[in-house]
Formats: sequence, structure tokens, C-alpha cells
Amino acid sequence: MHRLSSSGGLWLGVLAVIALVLPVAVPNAFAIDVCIRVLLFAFIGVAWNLMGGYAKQLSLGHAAYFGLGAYTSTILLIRFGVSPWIGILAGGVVAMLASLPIGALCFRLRGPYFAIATIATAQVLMLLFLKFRDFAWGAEGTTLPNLGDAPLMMQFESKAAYYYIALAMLAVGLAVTYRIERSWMGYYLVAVGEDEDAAEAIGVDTLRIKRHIYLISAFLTALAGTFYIQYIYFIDPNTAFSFNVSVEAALVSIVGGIGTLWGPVVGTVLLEATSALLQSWLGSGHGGVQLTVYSLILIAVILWRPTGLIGVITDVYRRLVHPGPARAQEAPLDG
Amino acid sequence: MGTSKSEAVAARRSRRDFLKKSATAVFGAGALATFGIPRRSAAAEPVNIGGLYPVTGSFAQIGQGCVNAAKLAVQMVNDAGGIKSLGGAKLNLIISDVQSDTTVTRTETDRLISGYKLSAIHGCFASALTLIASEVAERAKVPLLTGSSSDQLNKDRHYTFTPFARASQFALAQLQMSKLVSDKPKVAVVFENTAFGTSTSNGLREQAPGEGVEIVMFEPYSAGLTDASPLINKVKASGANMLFPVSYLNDLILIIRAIKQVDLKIAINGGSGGFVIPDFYTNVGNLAEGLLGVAHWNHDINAKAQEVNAAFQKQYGEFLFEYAGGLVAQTFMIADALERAASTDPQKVRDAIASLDVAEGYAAMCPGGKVKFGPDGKNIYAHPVGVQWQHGDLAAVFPKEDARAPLLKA
Amino acid sequence: MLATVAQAVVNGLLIGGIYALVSIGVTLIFGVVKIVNFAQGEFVMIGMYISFFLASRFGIDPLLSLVVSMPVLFVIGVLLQQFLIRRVLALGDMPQIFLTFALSLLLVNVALLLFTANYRTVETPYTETTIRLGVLYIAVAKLSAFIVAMLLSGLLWIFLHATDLGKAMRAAAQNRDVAMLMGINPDRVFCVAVGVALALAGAAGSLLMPFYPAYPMVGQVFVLMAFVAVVLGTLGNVTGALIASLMMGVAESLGVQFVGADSGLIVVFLMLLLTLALRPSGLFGGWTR
Repeated sequence: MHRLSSSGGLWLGVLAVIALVLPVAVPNAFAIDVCIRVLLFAFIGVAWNLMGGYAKQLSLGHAAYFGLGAYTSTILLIRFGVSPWIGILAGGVVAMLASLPIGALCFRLRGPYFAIATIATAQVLMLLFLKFRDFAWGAEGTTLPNLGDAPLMMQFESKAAYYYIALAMLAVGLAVTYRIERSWMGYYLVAVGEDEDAAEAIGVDTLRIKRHIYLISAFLTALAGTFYIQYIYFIDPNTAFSFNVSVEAALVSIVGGIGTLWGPVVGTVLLEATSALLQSWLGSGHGGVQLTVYSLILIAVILWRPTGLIGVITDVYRRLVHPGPARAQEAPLDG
Repeated sequence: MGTSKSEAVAARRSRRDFLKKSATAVFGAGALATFGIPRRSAAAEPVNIGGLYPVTGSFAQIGQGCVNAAKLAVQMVNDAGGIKSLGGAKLNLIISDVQSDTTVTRTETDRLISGYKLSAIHGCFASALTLIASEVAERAKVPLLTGSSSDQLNKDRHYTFTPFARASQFALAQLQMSKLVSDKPKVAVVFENTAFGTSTSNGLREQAPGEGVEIVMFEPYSAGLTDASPLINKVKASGANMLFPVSYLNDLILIIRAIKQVDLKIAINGGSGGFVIPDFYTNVGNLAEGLLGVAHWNHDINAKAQEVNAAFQKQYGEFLFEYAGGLVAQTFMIADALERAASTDPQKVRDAIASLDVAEGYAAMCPGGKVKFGPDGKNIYAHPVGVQWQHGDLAAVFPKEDARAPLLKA
Repeated sequence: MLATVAQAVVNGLLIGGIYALVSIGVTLIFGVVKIVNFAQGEFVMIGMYISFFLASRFGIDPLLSLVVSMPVLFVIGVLLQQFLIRRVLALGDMPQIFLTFALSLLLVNVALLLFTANYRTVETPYTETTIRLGVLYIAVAKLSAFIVAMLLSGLLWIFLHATDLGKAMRAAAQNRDVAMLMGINPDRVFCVAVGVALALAGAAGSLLMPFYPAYPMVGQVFVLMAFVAVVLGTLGNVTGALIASLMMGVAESLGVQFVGADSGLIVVFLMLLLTLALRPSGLFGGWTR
């Protein structure tokens, strides 16, 4: 468990300043777009990490909440004229409510059964929304009404505004994770994640813990769903409940370091940056080059550092800053 | 490790600091790297236009054909002297693969617009993808031309231009063609539950009563069939004598074969999409003979189209299909607009496109041979052609003015 | 009406045979090696391309090309186990799942690079022939696929129950540690398991070729159904996967017929979720881990 020290706080401050200044310092629209994606998917990864990283409940169906959040706010906006600022919270609530029956069904399942059941729930939702043409536009989906610059309706002409919202969401997600890590729930989560049966045996109410963390995870993921639709101006079931979202949510945490605070962020930065670079360099050429390279990189990362790249950074640090005999060395006390 | 607690704490603290430092560095490096995309200076010669097509993913096949046609078109424009009013400036085509994915379409449209100072864009084949690209283009105020048929593309937009027939027009044509084949058409409509499928089928449902056509089955299905037999089983039970499948190629192959397998005697009008590409014939063979379809462009509609078709066929070995041919025309429309605007500024180009009025040349390659845009971005002369597979090739057979070959009866 | 139902059931069974071949492979790998292979569909795709090339270059019928596709995929399976899977065995669920997932992405895109996205089909003399049994129409291509699929499943069953190596595999599936104590070499057993699973996938590909087009993403269409069948039939249970596959094929077909053509998949998923709600380890949960 990490503790916030004065020096750590300084670095966090530096990071925060850079993050806040970035869109002004680098006004290139594409770069900001990439940053927004990084922030958004890091946030989704953080939300997923609560369930999948700490409690080790490998959900591959988080798109269900992403989509529910997205559709709730869009339906409220287009059918009832409700501002997405309210819609985003409504979406979160809907997701939380949905997580209860889904959790009730899935938490009795272990390992791959759980994973596949979660995939199934997201797919069922997608299929249902494909059918609901009257209320939710079905397969055709809908574009958001073009309101130009309408901050009260979460539509902005400048990209920077979206950037800051995503940044705020990520900060909230990290703060929530940080608090949970240090609380009683954090300990129970890790216990459930390490060995659920043992935890039950010593009296932890694993079902209640899982349910609670699922509520939080679902809520946060739904927020991301709303934001995403507001950003791309379009919604349809395939986008909202996309399996790719579910996979990416898990992938960034796994690549970065599951069960750690910054793991999802590290993972997202690396994966999205790689993907964006590959797309710029190789994207237009022969079909398939970019993704081939991307998947090779993924395989290499998984084989080389299965616990996540956060470990690499730690190791590199250790070797750079503390060269010397193989015996573990401690940092000087002044920090 | 087993050392004193305070040392361990300090170790963790510095590890964490380093972590944050390096994350920032990576983040910063990533941002700078993506920022440093090569850009052409506005004063230099070439005019950048963007082409966004799905070269990978589920639409990969058609996407690749579109990219080939786009490159050919630009080559043709440049070989003819480029844009004379800009001192013979060449068109520079920036292609992007949208991976058949809505998110990627969003990012890529953005990337192209902001990274390359585009004067115009064309894309993206699939209506769902084009809708997103057109939204982005609209807000970025860059004109976009597309052959995608979704009627939604003409709503509330000032920068999207559709030179070709709309989904509702396709539907009407299909209905009218059904009466060529039977006096009392009883139609089964089977469509994939995607933007393309739903918009086309809606058009069918709305206009059928007006044309005196009875729809006896109207069924969406999940795209990506493992087996078409259950679906065809249902069609058989419905008593239809005509089938309108609105599908992409893989499903069409299965559907056509399943129909043969249960000995179902039913006339088929395959609409457009996967039905009007060379690969359909390659995969279905003789079963395709005599099948009807609708297309917004066909390679025999006029002499210019045939010329381009010959060039394409020479280079790529197959005939120039609907969407690909259409986008060649679009490239020429953009070139025409650039000529008249004498500027690469997207706003001026947009205005020049809006005032386009051509009746000859490659820019006018479309059914009816004329292009002029109305206030909603639609070509007021646009209409589809009915086509039929004849001897391994597509021939335009409907309506009379556009027919280039007689309708072969089954 | 009865004819329609009967036809729907027959259609479902026939395609269920293909699902079975794919799902048996997945469940075999899971049972023995304890890893979920998300890339199984891509091996079906490889089998299809092998058969396609043999058919288009040499005119070999896809059914005959089984003789080539199965051994080739067996070897690929052994290599896969030796060089990739073995490295991640000691790790948890997640890296393993993502490895196979990344592998799937890799194979699809390499196929796209090598073969382009064009659909490839094979015309055999029997591609369009149908047998009529009273009111039923049975496509010969699908029937032969079904028969061969059942034969292969039967052979696998015999292998698992009547040969030493097969029994060793089942033992390793039930309890790896005890099996090792009994002198069973886990490496060898894993290699065979993965090899056999991939061979079955390759067989599925060859059997599909007469009536289904090959393209890089074709595996993904079948793998989803296969996974549902695997879970429904309990992970690791080969007979379970077979029965579940057939059930699902029929459920999908009936769902299309009576609920709606876009509801086949919903019916199948709901079946899955309902089963898991009542029996968290699948229909046959309890006997094989």
C-alpha cells in the first residue's frame, strides 16, 4: 500500500501541472484527441481495476455499464431534453442498478465461467438494444443534435474542454481507488482477490464486498460511457456495448499492472500511444500491418512482463538508482 | 527484503516518485511524438484530400477496392494536369484505414483534418462509419462527399454532400423492379440489423403499399450468420415469391446457397452492398446469373464510366464496382470544385461543391448523367439503377432510360 | 408447421456439429492445460485456408483435405504449447487469457496481410445438392460435415477412454499433481492435448469449406458459439461440449424460426445465463474440473 509522502506529493503536483497545461502547450487537435482517449481509457481501466485488479473478478463485460450509461444520458437528452450533466449521473445510477442482478447471477461463478457470463450479459444488452428501435434507435443509432458550443449540454467547440473533463474523471477514479486501497474495503478486496475461499473461511462476507465494489465499478464505467458519446457525437449498440471496450478496460490494467493504483494509467499510456503511433505510421498501408505489429507487441509484453509493465519501471529504477550487489538495497532515508 | 520499516517506506516512496516521473516522461514523449506528424505547408503545391475507408475489419474487402479506385482517380486528375486554377497543383490523397470501427473513424477523421489541412474528404462506405465522419467534418467545417446511402446523412448538415441515390430511393427502385418479375409480388424482406440494413428496409416497408407490393415477411437478422438455413426456412414458410436480402457479402453467399439447397423457387433482388461487387460472382458462381440488384453507380451507365472501368480492370483485374466507381466521380467533383474555388480553403471548396452543376465529364458519372446539389446536400438528379448479373458481369437494366442491356428473364 | 419445426431442428443439429468440433477443442485445452484459448476460431480459419488452397490449386476435395489440415494443425498445436503456452502456465488467468486473445488478433491480421480480405469459396460437386427425406431438405455438404464431426468426436472419446495417453490426459485434467506423481509427463500430455484440439479446429475448417466462405475473420463467428457451448457443457467436459453444442444449434435455429431472425443469439445467451444461474458450473458441473 502506498502512502502519500511530501516528496510523492511534489511529484504528483508536477504531474498535475503538466496535465493541466498540456492542451494549451500542445494545441494540435490530434494530439489532444489521443490524450483524451488515454485519459478516458485510463479511467475505464481504473474503474475495471477495482473489480478485476484488486478483487480479481475478471469481468469481460464492462461494456454493459459503459453502454447503459451512454444510452441513459442520450435518451434523456434527445427524448426529454435533459442535460447530459444530469444524464451522466443518471446513467451511473442505472448502471449501479443493473450491476445488482448481473452480480447476483455472476458472482456465484468462478474464473472463466464468470468471464464468459459477463461477456454474455454485455452481448445480450447489445442485442436487446439492436432490437429496441422505438425507444433507442436500434441498429441505426443516432447522432447527437449539433448544439455547437453548449457547455450546459456537455458539447464544446474546443477539444480542450473535453480533455479537462476526462482529466477530472480520471482524477476522481484515482482518488476513489486510492481511498478504497487504504480503507477496510481495500483489505477485504485484496483478501477476496487472493483467495476467496480462505477469505470466506475467516469470516469475510465476500458476496457483500463483491457487490459493493461492483456498484462502484459500474457507476464509474457508466460515466465514461456518457462522456464518450458526448465526445464522438454518435451512438449505436455496437459502439456502446462494444466488446473492444470490455477488452481494453481489462487489458490496460493487465499490461500496466493489475491491483495497483497507477497500473491502468501506465498501461493506457503505453497501449494508446503505441496504437496511435502505429496508426499514423502504418495505418494506411496494407490492411493488417498495424494490428499485426500491435498484437506482436502485446504478446511480447505478456510473455516478458506478465505482472504488468509497472514492474518494469520499478525494476529499471532500482537498477539505475541503486547499482550494486544483487542484495536488496534500500533507498536513503531522506527520500 | 527484511530491513527496517522506515527504510522500506522510503524505498517505496522513491519508487513511487520515479514511477510518476517516468509516466510523465512517457506521456510527454507520446504526446510530442504524435504531435510531430509531418505536415505540408499551405503554400506548397499539392492539394490534400482525405479518403477514409475500412481497409481492415469486417468491410475490409470493399474498403480495399475503394482505396484502389481512390488512388486511380487522383492519378487520373493529376495526369490531366491537376488543378489548373491553382497553377496545376496536384491532388494529394491521404488515405486512412478506419478499421470498420466507429471509434477509429472518429479519431482518424480528426487526425486527417487536423494533421493535413484537408480541402475535402470522401468516405467511408458503411453508413454507420460515414455518419461519424460526417459529424466530425461538419464541426470542423470541411466538406465531405459520400456514396453512403443512409438518409440521416442529409439531415441538419451543411458540409456533407451525397451525389448518389439515397436508401429510400433504392427501396423504391427495388419495389418497382419486383413488378417486372411478377404481377402480384409477395416480398420477404430480410435485413441485417445494422445501419445499412435498417435504413434500406425501412424505405421498403414505407413505400411498398404505394407501389402495390405486399410485404409478407419483414425480418431483421444478426449479421454474421453461421447458417442461413433457419432464415430461409422462415422465408419459405412465409409464402413469398420474391426475396429482398439487405446484407453484406458473407451472409449473401450463405443465403443464396441455402435457397438453392431447399429448392426454393424465389426471385431475388439483392439490393446493393455486397451484392454488386465482383466477389459476389466469384463466390456464388452461376447461382448469381439473372439475379437482380440496385446500385447507385454501375460501370455501363455512360461512356466515361466504361473508360474508367477499363482502366481499373486493367490495373486490378476485376470490374469497377458501385461504390468504387462512385468515388472516382466524387474525386472529379472535388477537382471541379477546386478549379472553381481557385483555393484550397475548405470553406471555399464547400461553397464550390454546393454550387456544382455538371452534365459531362467524369464528375457527372452517375445515373442520369447530371449532378447538382440541393440545399440539403442531395443531388437533385440522383436515382439508382437496377442491375442484373449477366454472364458474370453487372448490367444496368432499369429504369428504361438507364438500361444498357435487356432484362433477362429467369 | 410440423415440417417447419422438424426442418429447424435438423438445421440446428447440422450446424451444431460444427460448433461441437470447435467447442470440443476449447474444452479439451481448458480441461487439460487449464487455459482458455480465445484464438481457437483462428485455427478453424487456418484449416479453411489450407483446404481452400488444396482445392483451388490441386483440386482436392475439402473432405479429403482433412488428411492434410488435421496433421498440420496438430503440429501447430504442439508448437503453440511448447513455445507460447508453456511460458504462461504458471501465471494467473489474466495473462493467459490475454495471450490467447492477442494471438487471435495476430492471426487474423496476418491472414489479412497474406490472403487479403476477399472471401474464398470452394465449389464441390455436392455444394448445392440436397437430400430429400419426406418434407425435410438436408444439404449434403452439411450432412457430411456433421457425420465426420460426430465420427471425430467419437474417435476422441475412444482415445480419451481407451488409450493410455488419453487416460493420462484425463488424469492430468482431473488432478495435475497426482497425475505427475503417477509418472505422467505433463509436458507431453499438454502438447498432445493442444495438438488434438487444434487438429479438431482444423477439421472444422475443412468441413466448413464446401459450404462456408473463408476470410480472415471467419473464426470469430464460430468461436462465440463455441465458447457458450463450452461453458454450458461445463468447462473441461468433452461430452458436455458436444451435447451443449448440439443443443445450442437447435436452440438458435428454433429461436430464429419462432422468436425472430435476430433473436437466435439472444436465445442462446439467455439459455447460457439461465443455466449458469441454476448450475454455476454448467450442465454437467461436478464431475470434471
